[in-house]
Amino acid sequence: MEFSEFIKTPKVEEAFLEGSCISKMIGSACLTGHHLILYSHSGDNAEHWILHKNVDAIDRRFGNDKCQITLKCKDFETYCLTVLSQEDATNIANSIEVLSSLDNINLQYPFFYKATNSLSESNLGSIEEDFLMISNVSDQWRISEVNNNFQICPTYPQRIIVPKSISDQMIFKSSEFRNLGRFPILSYCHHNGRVVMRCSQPQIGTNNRRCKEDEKLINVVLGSHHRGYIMDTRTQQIALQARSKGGGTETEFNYPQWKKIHHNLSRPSALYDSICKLVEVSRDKGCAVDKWRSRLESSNWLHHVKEVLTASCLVSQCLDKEGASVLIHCADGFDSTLQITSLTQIILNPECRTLRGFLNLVEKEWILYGHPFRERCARSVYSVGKASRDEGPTFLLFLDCVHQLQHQYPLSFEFDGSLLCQIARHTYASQFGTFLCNNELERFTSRVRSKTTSLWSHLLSDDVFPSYLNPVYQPRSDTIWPSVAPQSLMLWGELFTPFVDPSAVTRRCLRSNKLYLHELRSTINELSKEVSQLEEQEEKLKT
Amino acid sequence: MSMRRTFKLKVNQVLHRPQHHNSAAAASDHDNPLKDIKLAGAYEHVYQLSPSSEVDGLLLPGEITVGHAKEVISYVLHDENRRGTSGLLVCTNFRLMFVTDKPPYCNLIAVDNKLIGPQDVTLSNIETIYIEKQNGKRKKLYPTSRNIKDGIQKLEIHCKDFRILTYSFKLSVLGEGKNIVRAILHHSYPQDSSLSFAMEYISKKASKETSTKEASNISSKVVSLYRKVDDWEKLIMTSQAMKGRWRITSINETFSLSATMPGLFVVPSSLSDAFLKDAIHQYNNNRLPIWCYTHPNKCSLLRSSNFREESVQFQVDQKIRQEITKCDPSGRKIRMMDLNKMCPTLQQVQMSFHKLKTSCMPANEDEYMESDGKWYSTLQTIKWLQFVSCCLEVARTCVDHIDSGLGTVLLIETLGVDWTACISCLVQVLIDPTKRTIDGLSELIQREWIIGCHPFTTRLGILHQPKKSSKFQPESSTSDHPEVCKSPIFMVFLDCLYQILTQESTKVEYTSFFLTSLADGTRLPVFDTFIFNNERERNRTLQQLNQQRTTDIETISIWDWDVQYPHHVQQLFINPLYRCKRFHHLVATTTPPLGGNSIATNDDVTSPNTLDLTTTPKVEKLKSSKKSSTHHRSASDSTCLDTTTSSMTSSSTPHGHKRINSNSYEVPYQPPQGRSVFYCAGDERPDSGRSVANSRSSSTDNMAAEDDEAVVIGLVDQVNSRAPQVAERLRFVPNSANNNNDVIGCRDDDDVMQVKTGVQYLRFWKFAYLRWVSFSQLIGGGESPQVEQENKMADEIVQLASKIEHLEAQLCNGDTSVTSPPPRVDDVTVQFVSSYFPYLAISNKSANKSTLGRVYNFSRKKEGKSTTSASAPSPKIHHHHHHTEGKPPHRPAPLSPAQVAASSHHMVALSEQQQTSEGGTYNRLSSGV
Repeated sequence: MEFSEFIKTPKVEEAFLEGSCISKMIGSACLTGHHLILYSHSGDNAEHWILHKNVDAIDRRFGNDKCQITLKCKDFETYCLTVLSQEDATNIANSIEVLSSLDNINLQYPFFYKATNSLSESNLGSIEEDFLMISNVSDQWRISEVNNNFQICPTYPQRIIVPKSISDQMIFKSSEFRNLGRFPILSYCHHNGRVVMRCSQPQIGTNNRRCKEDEKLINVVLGSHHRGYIMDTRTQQIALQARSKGGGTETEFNYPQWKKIHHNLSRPSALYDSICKLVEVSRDKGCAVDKWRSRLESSNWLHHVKEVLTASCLVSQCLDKEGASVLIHCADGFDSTLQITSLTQIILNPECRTLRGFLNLVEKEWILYGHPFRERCARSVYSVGKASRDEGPTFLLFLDCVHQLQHQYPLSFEFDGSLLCQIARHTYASQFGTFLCNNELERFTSRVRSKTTSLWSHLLSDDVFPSYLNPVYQPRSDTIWPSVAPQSLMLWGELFTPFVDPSAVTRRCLRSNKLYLHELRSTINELSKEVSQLEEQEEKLKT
Repeated sequence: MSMRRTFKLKVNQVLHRPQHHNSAAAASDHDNPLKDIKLAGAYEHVYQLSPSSEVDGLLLPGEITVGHAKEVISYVLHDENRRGTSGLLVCTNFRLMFVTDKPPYCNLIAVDNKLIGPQDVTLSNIETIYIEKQNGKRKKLYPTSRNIKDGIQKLEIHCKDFRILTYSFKLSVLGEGKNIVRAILHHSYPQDSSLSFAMEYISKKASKETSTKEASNISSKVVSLYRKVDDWEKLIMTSQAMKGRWRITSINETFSLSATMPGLFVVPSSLSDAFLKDAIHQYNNNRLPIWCYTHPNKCSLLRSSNFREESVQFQVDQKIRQEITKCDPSGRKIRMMDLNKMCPTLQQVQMSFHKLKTSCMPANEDEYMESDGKWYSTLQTIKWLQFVSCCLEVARTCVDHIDSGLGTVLLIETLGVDWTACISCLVQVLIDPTKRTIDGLSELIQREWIIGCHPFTTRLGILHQPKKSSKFQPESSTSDHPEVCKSPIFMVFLDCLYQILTQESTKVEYTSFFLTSLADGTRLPVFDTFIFNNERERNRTLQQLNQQRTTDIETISIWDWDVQYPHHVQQLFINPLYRCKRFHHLVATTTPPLGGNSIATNDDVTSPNTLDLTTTPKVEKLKSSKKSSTHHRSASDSTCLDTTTSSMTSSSTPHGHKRINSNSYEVPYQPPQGRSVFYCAGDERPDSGRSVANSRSSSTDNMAAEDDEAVVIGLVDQVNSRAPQVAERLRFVPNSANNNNDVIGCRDDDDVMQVKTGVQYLRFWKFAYLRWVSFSQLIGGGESPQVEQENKMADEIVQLASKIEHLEAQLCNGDTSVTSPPPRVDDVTVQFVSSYFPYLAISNKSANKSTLGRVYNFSRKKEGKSTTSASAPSPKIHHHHHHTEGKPPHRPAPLSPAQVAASSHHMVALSEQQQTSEGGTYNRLSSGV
């Protein structure tokens, strides 16, 4: 096994582990190819596993009598491992450093992880199901094989839904006109037949190229009388500047049926800076009382949340109130574009607020349509300076927006906040293959889907999903309009400031409300079960 | 649930009302239950009355009209296009009342208040008055303003509860505006509390009601007012830890020794009255250290003012401290906490509250949204939450000290009437579960704040002090001296309680609505609770009043919620999670193990299974409980019938709310909330001690209430004799006893609450401060609907449980033909519950607008920018922009003809702009292509 060459000290008998989310442990530390494991000696057989992949940065502090290694993790937690020998400490730190940054996809933990009980295929993101839904509303669509073997767009799936009246040839032309081949494609079809489409920027360039096929492709969606909106998530100025690099934005002259909206959303790199500041503030226990809020404000994170929510609200209004279709793109079409398309669906479509519906949405929008998880989530907040420009918590911002919606409409979601937290953690380090790779082509090449277990299968398995259910869920059929006022936006405490007070009592109290509601729900179920049993008995007596 | 039932009843009433009253309104509006309630309520009898007499029926006893203006337009709050309703504006000696025969466009308060209508405002709620002249000049009026001339176009009233009311006189007869403004000004700033409306009210009310004395007035008697020795005795006799060490003294019964001390208070037994009489003058403000609380570990909490600096008799202070130390048998040292140093000053709080008010009272939506970018730093500079955090932190320090048995804590403050009250209350809430119930909390507030002589009149600025604060800015006021300083310490306290609620909502019984009701109660001069500075003032005022009469008049306390709210509204006080927790206490675990109590050890021990919060173990336990001893069986069967029958009759009471008396008590105790079904076996509700005491002989009275455990013993006893079946059935008592009882669940409520005090964990209390800002609410979102949903779950459990009872009873008897199962209540769901429910119930039509308002921010900004390139839209359209529904940018949608018709039906057409046909940039643009 090739991992062993990186591991000089596989086991240390006496080690201490402290962490912001665990109580202090004393025991032996073991190093494996993928984990640092601490077995407790205290007789309760406790063990704690830290995935190497989760380690973002390592601090070494070596003293004479003990050596401390601080592991700063990508899920914002920090652990402090103390061993006695300096040699052991150096070896462990070096090993973790190497093992946490292995690039070879085939060495990633998901390829080694075997689920304890076989999980059934979740079947999320199925195009047939999607197509069936759309057929109920409109018969203008068909399934196309034009992207077979990813020949026209590597970041789209192989089978796609396209307008019936558009030939594969025209789609091919359109994809040549768009950045990275991401031609306009259906994202969501509202019950009134209006649609949200997404794409990347058109390659207009300095010599004002145009593409008749591309114009036709999006116009056909509108029908003859309707008008639509194109939302560009860059400012007008940036969009125009992009022309010098071969990009650009649709001209009103060539797209007369469309009205342009520019809504500036930040690029991943800006989000990365913001979240670094945010975590710094939220994890700073000693922050002065009268500084906290202004530091929070200067991190700008909640401003980003607000902007994304506002843009999604706007698109939702266009669709629902105005009855107009919307085309959304940024430069590449797989960052802020996806935030808006998916949030719009959550606002408008009650189906996306169910547990399965939400996971389906993430699979469909983010995984299948090519959000580059590998690049965006390679590093986290503790590797400032080391992170590449591609780094950025775009997906995390989306999850935070969902959390805001959930907080504002506590009854409307079938799942609760802990699901979002789980997903957030799995995007950075996971035993599941769901968030590996940048796009479908890469996943296809590495055979991720066949060789790894899916997070969705795990989350949807019978013994897991009940714990993520919202005990006060009340399905509602209409839209939920979020408030984007700062008074309504909350810092996502469960993710950013969890259990800062490490005493066990507090932790129990924190959880109690939710747990408690769960208990109530199950009490109700038991009682109604008993009622029906008794009623049966009574029936028998009667007859 | 009863809330919903009431809705249905009321809706029916409305539908059966003769149509000629307002047929159009009834027909068009009965899709809106909230509106219908209003129609059925206060406004119903107004419809056919003539202007002169129409008001009389609405007046309270003792209320007289002092001015009115006809054809006044009352504008909808924060409405951009100035829609409003026309009606009669009446000023009385109690309130400013708006009476109209048109259905209100938007309801401010969705619940019935028996004292004031949804569009009324009490005069003591009025903070500032602005008038606008015909020339558009806006002017602020001062209590001393005299020169008010004709030609007032608009009247704007800023309330102390952060509401803004706007009236226009443009349709009324010249001069009426001036008259009513003068009347308001004259009556809004009383200078003496004997002039308070409460005096008029109670004396007139008493004379009216002597003939028809209401018999059913029990609930007000539940809360001890601590003006009689009995109340205090109950308090100190119930605690084993206090026995013999503390006594009640009445040296100040006539308030001759100290104006700011209670008539009765508790001191160490060893201090003689003679000594105290001397000592009292050595303290600032004449306040001795008085007892507040004693923990079972015998550490106590006391409060006092500073020892006079100029005093030379230091030995007095030393002696008192010595004796306090002796009250603790272990002789631990007293810890002095100087709140002057630990808490913010009164002026700081007042400043902060003033800023808070400014930022929570936006004049319009634009102003509100302008503050968006800097909200967090604004919040930081306001410092309000820092102060709340600070109070909680101080309280937590005390709690830690007392709970860990480090010794007695003495709270000290210059005057001893402000922070000492706040901190001592908070400490008791955090440390003592019995203070977390509504009754417990009410008694605590009554004892520490009211009897403890917090100067409400001064601090809340109820009385106008002509010399010192002729201007209202606290900055400019010269009244910085703590004795005359205005400072909303009580609001800080309520905010602290709110923070406790958000962090530990299963452990406290009150809700946000209870807290805001308390805050509003301070501005409702009907009760004697918040209108005096101290007990002596109250006593003297009442004496004067009684001198002119033959019989003594009875004052009304705020705790008598029946005066203010009908029962179904009072139910909103109860936190469903707490209610369930209490219940669950019985369901999931059981009462804590009680040493030496045979009954308890037999029945009330949890199996380790209870730790496992999954479904199965409970089901097993459910089964096993069925096989419990016959003794239980028979005893509980009888009560089962009681429960079911009472629940059946209850659902048909005219109020439509559940009135199940908890059967374990024989006293006709009726908690004001009506949701009493859970308070039964094993329940350590503070009033349980009382109730038990009442139902038993007085000798066991003290015994049973000696401490928590004793109460439980007493109750367990009762469970065996006549426990309600529901509770008994759900006890899940395992047969195998003697297992360890784990912390989770059962000891939970006895825990000292762990409140996180860091400012990052505190929430801005939107429900209180922003409840009148319509565009900040969420329709169908926020906390209120969640509470509603939790209530539903709690009700469902009760229902299922009683259904099981019923079915089992049938099966046992083998008689299948007997009574039908308890009727299931139909769910009439409230359509428009917003995050501020029950405040600011916006009608359906404006619902979407108010939430979508936030997005306009963007669209308007965008439009402003894009107009530079595209053809500029006319200002009209720009204006139009705000009030059309669900509008995307660049394209204001027209009001549909139906909408226009509907809106103009209720509203005085104020602006032709509303009906301008819609052009918009988009159309122009596309037609050009």
